[in-house]
Amino acid sequence: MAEIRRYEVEGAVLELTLRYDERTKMFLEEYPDLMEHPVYTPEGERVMLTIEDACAYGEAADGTRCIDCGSCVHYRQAPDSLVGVCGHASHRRA
Amino acid sequence: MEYLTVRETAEKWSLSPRMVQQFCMQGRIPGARKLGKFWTIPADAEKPRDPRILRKRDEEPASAAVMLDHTNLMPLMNTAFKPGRCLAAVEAMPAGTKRDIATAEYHYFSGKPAAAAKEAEPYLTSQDMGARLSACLIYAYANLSVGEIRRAQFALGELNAALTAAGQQSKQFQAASAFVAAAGAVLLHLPLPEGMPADTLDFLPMLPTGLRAFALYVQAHYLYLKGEYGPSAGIVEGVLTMGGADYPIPAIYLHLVAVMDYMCLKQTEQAKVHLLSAWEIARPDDLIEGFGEHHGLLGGMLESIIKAEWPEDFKRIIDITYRFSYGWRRVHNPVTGHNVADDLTTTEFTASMLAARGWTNQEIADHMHISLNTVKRYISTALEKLHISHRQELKQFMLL
Repeated sequence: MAEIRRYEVEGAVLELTLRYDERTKMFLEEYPDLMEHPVYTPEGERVMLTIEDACAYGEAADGTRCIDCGSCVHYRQAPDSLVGVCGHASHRRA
Repeated sequence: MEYLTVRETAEKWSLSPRMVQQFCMQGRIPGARKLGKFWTIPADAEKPRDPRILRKRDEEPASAAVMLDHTNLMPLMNTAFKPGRCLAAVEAMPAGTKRDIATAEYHYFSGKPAAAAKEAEPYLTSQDMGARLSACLIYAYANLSVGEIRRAQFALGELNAALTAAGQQSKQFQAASAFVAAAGAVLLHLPLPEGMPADTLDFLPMLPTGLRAFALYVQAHYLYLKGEYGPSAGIVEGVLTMGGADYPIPAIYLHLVAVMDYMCLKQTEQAKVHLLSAWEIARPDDLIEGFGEHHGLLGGMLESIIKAEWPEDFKRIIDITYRFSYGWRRVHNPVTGHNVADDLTTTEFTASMLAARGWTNQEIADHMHISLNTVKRYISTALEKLHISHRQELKQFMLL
């Protein structure tokens, strides 16, 4: 049976499958396709992967365009994980 | 082969057993092996030279021991031949030292380091300085690739000792020593050894054309490491235009450093042209070693171009990459031999390297001909393995 790690990100629950990596002798998380299958917090904000390419609204702290969600001012990354929540209004659940 | 103990060797060489033991531990006696707690030394091993004596020789007038002509200095590197005629070029050389060194070069550059090390070994203490310097350079890299790090370090030490000894010798000897010492250091990303001429113009004109082309590749690689991609690419284009392209081994390496430069400048079409040029020269003679050595710096070009069309060659290149990077990290981290970036597969490393340079996932996917989700999986896996949580942190683990 596959190992599962459960994350609660601002009220949204994600269950990630763990894959054992022989090279590093560690369990690695398999992230779901959050673009194809969006997940939202109870507040209606969208859960995103930190390394997702920046969208048209992406903005770095210095006001320039950012490269990914992880460097965007609208993104709140969950501790010890590669997922977080996008706070931009345009990505809220309709 | 007959072997002696440390004590027997010490008596034979009129040295203390402690000194012989030190030579063994420093890897200065080719063929010496440790069995349990004891060293065994080939009975015919030559007594290593003492670097203090080498320095003393500087003060003596030039002798036969330090005379040099370029005949036996990396002869294959300095030979112009048509692609597919490499072995024929070697076989056309007169039997003896020159052909032996060229054969070792051929085996090294075609991914057969064990054979190359064996062929170079008899010339490590040759009186012919061209042959000796060549043997040390080949022996260093070949042993790095087969995991014999002590031997590789011994040979690199010999190159630096030769550079020190060259101080008062002929200009040609100084040029040859500077050339091999720079090649030994820059390509392994080590600091330049003491005694290097401050300006490459001091020694470049003293080298024959093929070696000069390779020395300029070393110079271009050095500029690349300093982040001067434009000037580095400029050197390559200039050397290839002015005759360097006629010498296949330097030409392959020059094209490869151009790929590195243009990938950093995000000029992928230019990079592709140079990669294909290098491949056209290398493939007919199977001269693939350079591709494996440079894999991490080529920015996914091998995955993008070679993998699909020449999958078997690609696998061999990746094998070279793994064994070369093992030796590389042992030189840089001699105690643990560990570098966390080595926990990544070559594909994870490539995607992460591009991400660290500011490429988007979509750009990486397009370049490597893989899906967007696959790119995201590679990069997220790399972040997890490296215990970091942001793309920007990748830089500290990559060769940028």
